[in-house]
Amino acid sequence: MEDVSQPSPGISKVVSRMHGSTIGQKALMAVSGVLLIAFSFGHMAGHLQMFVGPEPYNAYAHFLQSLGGIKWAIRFGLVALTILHIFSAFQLTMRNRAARPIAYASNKWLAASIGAKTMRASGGIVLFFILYHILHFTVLLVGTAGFPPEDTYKLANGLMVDDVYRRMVISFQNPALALGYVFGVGLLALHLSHGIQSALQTLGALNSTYRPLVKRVGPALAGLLFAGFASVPLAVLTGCIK
Amino acid sequence: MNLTLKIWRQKDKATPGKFETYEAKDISPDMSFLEMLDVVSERAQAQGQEPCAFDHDCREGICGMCSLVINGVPHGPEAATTTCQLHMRKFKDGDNIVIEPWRASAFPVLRDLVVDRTAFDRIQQKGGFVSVNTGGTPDGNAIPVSKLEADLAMDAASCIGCGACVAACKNASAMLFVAAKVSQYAHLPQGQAERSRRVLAMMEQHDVEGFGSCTNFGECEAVCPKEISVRVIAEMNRDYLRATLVGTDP
Amino acid sequence: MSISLDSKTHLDAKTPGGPLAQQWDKHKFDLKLVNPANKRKFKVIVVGTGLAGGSAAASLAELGYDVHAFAFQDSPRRAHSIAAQGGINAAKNYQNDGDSVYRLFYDTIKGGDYRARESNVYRLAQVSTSIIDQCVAQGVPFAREYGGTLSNRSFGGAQVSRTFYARGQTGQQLLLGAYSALSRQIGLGTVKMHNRSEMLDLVMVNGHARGIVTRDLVSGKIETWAADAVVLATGGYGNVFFLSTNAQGCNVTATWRAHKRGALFANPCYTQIHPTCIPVSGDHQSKLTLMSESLRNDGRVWVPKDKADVGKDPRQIPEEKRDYYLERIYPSFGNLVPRDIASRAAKRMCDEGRGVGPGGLGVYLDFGDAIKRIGKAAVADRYGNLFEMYQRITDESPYEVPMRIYPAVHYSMGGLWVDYNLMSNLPGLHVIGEANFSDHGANRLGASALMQGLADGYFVLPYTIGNYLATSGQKKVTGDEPEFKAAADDVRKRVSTLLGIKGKRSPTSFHRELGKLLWDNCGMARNAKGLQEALDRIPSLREEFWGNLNVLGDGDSYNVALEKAGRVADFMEFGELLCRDALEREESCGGHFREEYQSEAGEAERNDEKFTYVAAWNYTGDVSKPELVKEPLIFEEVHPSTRSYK
Repeated sequence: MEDVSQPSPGISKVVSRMHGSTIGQKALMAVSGVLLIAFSFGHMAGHLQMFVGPEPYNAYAHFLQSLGGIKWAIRFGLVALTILHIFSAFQLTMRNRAARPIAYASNKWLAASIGAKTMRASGGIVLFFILYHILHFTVLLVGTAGFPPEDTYKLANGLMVDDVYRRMVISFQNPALALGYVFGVGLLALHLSHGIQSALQTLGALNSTYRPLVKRVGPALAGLLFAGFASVPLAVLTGCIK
Repeated sequence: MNLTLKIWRQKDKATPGKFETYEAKDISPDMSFLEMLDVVSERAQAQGQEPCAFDHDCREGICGMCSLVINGVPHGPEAATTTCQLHMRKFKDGDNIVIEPWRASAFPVLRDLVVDRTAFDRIQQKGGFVSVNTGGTPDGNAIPVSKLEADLAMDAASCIGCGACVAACKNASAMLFVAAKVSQYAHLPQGQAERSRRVLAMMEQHDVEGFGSCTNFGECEAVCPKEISVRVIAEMNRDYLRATLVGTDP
Repeated sequence: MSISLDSKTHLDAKTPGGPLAQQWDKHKFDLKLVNPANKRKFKVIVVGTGLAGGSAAASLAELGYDVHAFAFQDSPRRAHSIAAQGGINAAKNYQNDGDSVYRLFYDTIKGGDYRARESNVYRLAQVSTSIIDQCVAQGVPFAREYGGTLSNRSFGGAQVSRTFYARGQTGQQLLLGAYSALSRQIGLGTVKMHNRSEMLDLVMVNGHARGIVTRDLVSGKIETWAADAVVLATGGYGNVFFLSTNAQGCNVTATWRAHKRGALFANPCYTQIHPTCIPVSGDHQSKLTLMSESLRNDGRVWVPKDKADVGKDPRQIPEEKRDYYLERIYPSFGNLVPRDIASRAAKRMCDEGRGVGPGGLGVYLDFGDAIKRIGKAAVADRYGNLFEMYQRITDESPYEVPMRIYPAVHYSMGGLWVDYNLMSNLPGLHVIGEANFSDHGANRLGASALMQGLADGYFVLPYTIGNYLATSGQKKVTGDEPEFKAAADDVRKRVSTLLGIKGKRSPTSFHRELGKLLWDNCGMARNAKGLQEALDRIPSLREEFWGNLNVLGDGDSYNVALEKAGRVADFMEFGELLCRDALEREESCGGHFREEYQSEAGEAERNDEKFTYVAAWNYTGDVSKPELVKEPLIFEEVHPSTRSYK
């Protein structure tokens, strides 16, 4: 047996083991996933300010825009995490396909949840959803029909800022966009209903005491995220937010 | 009862296999699944057909030799039961039953329903032991082990090495098998000295053998005839990551 | 093939002599050692990788020998040792209940009905304590008390708690411990493991055992292997009865082939019948399932007093119409009498027509009182797994309906004859575990098989084989000698003969017929007339086998029918020796019960004057005319008395 219990494994060994082993890759996927989930919750919390009104929401949006270098660091980080997440998934998928070259003629699931069985599909669609979302609200390249040319908003302190609130309302008054978003975050929630507990299991956070709890917490958190994200377009669509 | 069986037949490792259909007539519900196959094989032999090969030995659910994916489920429809202890009363008259070997690139088919599971042995050989020679060991009661830890170790140690976890996993991952061994030793004082090197070495071999990765679906746990919990996988992941990042045996 | 014995009537067991308690220590000192640097030059073949073979292969490799291990299963972890449920005895006296090496020795000698060799049994009791230490160090998860110490229970016929256990899977955990030690050595390259490889002959060169012939069960390739010594750890022959608690693959082939090359087969008639098995349900049955006899700790065994009640629902039979016959006949041991006594009592009840279940071959094991006394939860805690297993097989819940049990063939005390060094009469051929005859006499106590297998493999053979290797003075063999070629040719011829018969009957059908013949005439109770009948019928069955066997396929591939045919062919010959030995031994002792030799109360009657010897059979070239060689048993420490459990 290779002597692997040296006091310090060395950074190159750590990297090669994380990148080169099934558990390592899965852990990279889990860590990137957990960080992306954390971002999603922050993002959702920001969105919920839509219910308070244009003033706080636009102020919040302006604050984010004004972060400058930090903003770009976060954006860069998110892209990197997403690439890492997808790359690990891709590598593991290739490996897993090779592990079972001949499929069963008859196959029956006993334990896997819907979220688990649809991970790859939901993940793929969520990726396209996010790309669209960025092109829509960040880059303002698609779905901008109806956006006013002069979309500024005057904050209470007199500062003129982007009227992001207005763009949200206009967008989600379009039923196709609103329902599209609900569908997108629905798939995200489906992805996370398995993803959260899977990540915790992969990172070894589940022991026998907490496992039953976490098995419920995963889907619950996913549901919470869905409720938070979906509430905004639905509120706009039903006229609760104008 | 009368049944229709679709059984995978394959001459050897190199020859592609295919399904063949057999009529199993007048089967007693008190037969075990393997006894049913015995009867079908005996009848086929009398007609000049070579009997279908399948692995089996103890026929009491402990040796881990029997296998078979029965209608899409390793070891068949009854929970916590090996194929040898599955009884025909769990089926209905007129049922169609599809019988396939474990399917994984790390478990090549040797003949019909017999697969080569020596990959498990090779994983064990990398670290599934405490490095202690015969003789010179301290008194059995010298190191107390709490009942709780001993029980957790025993839960994991009850693995029979049948490979149903691999067969059920959509990725043909052997994580439950490896983790059961790793967890057994992790819960015992005797296993601590080699804890890090054990998990790293065994998992390295797991990957070398071509098993897939764990996706935490829990199918392995659902088919495990000894009901080993995926708790052991979480424990192994933790040990693996700690060993990777810190590298020292505790 | 001819062997020279020092004396035809006095086989020399090479026991060290002197006070019993000091024999092993003295002997270890007297044994010649192999220089550490020279050990790797000695190649040892170990056939079988169960408790005995696995532990021996690992221990020999640790010492530095070049070990080749062989198993017919796909992995050493599958050996049938794995199925032992109850536990392993050791004279640790952790419970402070008066246990000692001497008491374990005494119990084993008495339990064996005074037909075992004192020196071997004493050594077994001595090393028993080291086994527990060894297994704990390997990480075997024995049951523990809350304080962290090892837990014990009392088991089958012992009045002290000396049985260590790991739930109901002690054999599994001990085997996996030995397997882990073996795996470590395979990983280190000191053991070369040959899976799915069946030994089909022994190779003798210059009167010494120097190699084996194997068939690769996947490719069909016949190969020869040369070595400096051969160790057989190939288990017992219980499957000669077709239905037994043994695994399907258990067979007599390795030991029988060695016998035909000159090794003496000792006491084949000592077969153990286990009292608590699930009764036969039909003709399709391929094996009998044993349930741990720990069930008898809380279950009460009974049959209806009245024959008329046997068909009734047992719950409808009132207390006063039940005969708790073990408690009635053996008031001091009750339901915990040794296996042979419990088994025969069950048979007697069934012979009286009071048996229950299909064919009247079963007695009740009732947990009704235990559930009333300690509650269903406590019963489930102790026996839940066994109850589930029972329900899976019979579709009845023991919580509601009494279990039905019946005895089944379980263990073979007989085996190849070995001396104190565990070497057979063939120099270089060592035999360990259930495959030898050495320690259990005419009856084995519960939880002693695991003890013996590991004692032989970990703590006896590694010492004694060194003595042989250091003193044998044999030239190296390469496998190119004519003896190897001749043995391989014999095996090839045999394989092609089996394939060439092209008759009508399958190997299994012959096996089933032979098994029934033996069970009926040489099973739980035997008599001269039945044995003679079996001896008359076996040769003709054998003749039919060689004339009407049907094995399809070829010899160059995976062929399950061919494997089976080879094993049945050997059972056909061995079965005859079993009956002959049973006929020759005109007494009842342990697992061997001759109906002519019983007391009025139906208890076994030994004949110490005539039969205090080991019956070792020598193959003469004619299976039907073996020659009897005796090893007299001398009891210096324990004086044979009538076993009484009343």
